[in-house]
Amino acid sequence: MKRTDDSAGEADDGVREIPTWARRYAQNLTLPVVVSLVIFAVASCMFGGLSYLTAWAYVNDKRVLAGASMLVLCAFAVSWVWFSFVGGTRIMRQITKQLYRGEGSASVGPPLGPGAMSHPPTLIGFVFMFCVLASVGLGLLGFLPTRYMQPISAVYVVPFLCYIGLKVCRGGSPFMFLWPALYAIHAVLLVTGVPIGMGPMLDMFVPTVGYGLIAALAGHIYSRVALRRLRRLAASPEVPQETAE
Amino acid sequence: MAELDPHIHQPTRLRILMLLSGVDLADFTFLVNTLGLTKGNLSSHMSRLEEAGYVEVTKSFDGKIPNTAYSLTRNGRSSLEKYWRAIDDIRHGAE
Repeated sequence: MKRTDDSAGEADDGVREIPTWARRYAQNLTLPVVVSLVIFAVASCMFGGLSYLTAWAYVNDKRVLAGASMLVLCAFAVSWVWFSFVGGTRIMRQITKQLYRGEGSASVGPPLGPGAMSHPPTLIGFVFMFCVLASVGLGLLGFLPTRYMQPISAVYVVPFLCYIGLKVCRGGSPFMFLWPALYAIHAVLLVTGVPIGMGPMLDMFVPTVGYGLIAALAGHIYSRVALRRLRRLAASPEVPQETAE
Repeated sequence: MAELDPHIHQPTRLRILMLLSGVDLADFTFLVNTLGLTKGNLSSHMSRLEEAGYVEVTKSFDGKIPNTAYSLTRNGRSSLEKYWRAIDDIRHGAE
């Protein structure tokens, strides 16, 4: 230990703000969410397109086309299951590393690697899936009015998204709470009769993907702001010298 | 007059420790880019902080690429808090 008093005042010139901005930066690395939602959107469109093609071919008695599109649909479904439960985590980890390769890695939750994002407990996942299937099933059978499918889904989607944000993505971006908030607002607007309905399918799809993208992009933009601020505050006063590591 | 820890009372090392106190884990590339240091400079500072027991090093491999990540130890965190208290004492003493 040594005694110093004259340089003490210089030491905390903005340096005390470094942890705050470092944390804000690390919390808001939400580009992987954007990528996940884009993958989900593309997969959903492919499912929808293939299902429509299969049904159209069957109704118009084009058996070969119907069979072929059914086979492609099945192969795609198997690939999607593989992606969701087996290979997706590894692929998304690689994509994340590539996205942030230039700036390195900083995390406030579990480190990147196995367990980077712990999966929601099985019971919660089953309850959520049951709610999805039940509401879609009841809607298709005509027990639920299709214009209220999205507001009804908000009853379980909003708590699930809040749960994911709070528990699963420890140290996650606060901007991701925009997702359930906007989803809930959309539901309230639909119930109160504001003309924003786009049909039963799009009323579910657009808020799910669109509001998720808005939340994730807001987080990403904020992470750029935080990084710029952090680099300004943390820039070392040392003159860089080229030395071997 | 308060005493200042010489390991911390160095502008670059102070910034490194403050940066690590805001996150759970940061890798070498992130520290180099954010602090604007050369790899050599950062390595020597990290070695000193590691010797002092203020940072913990985690070495891993991403495929064939080595990755070195750092985190602040409990000792590092408490020393940093003591350092800022000492700075504040000096400030208040001077006023």
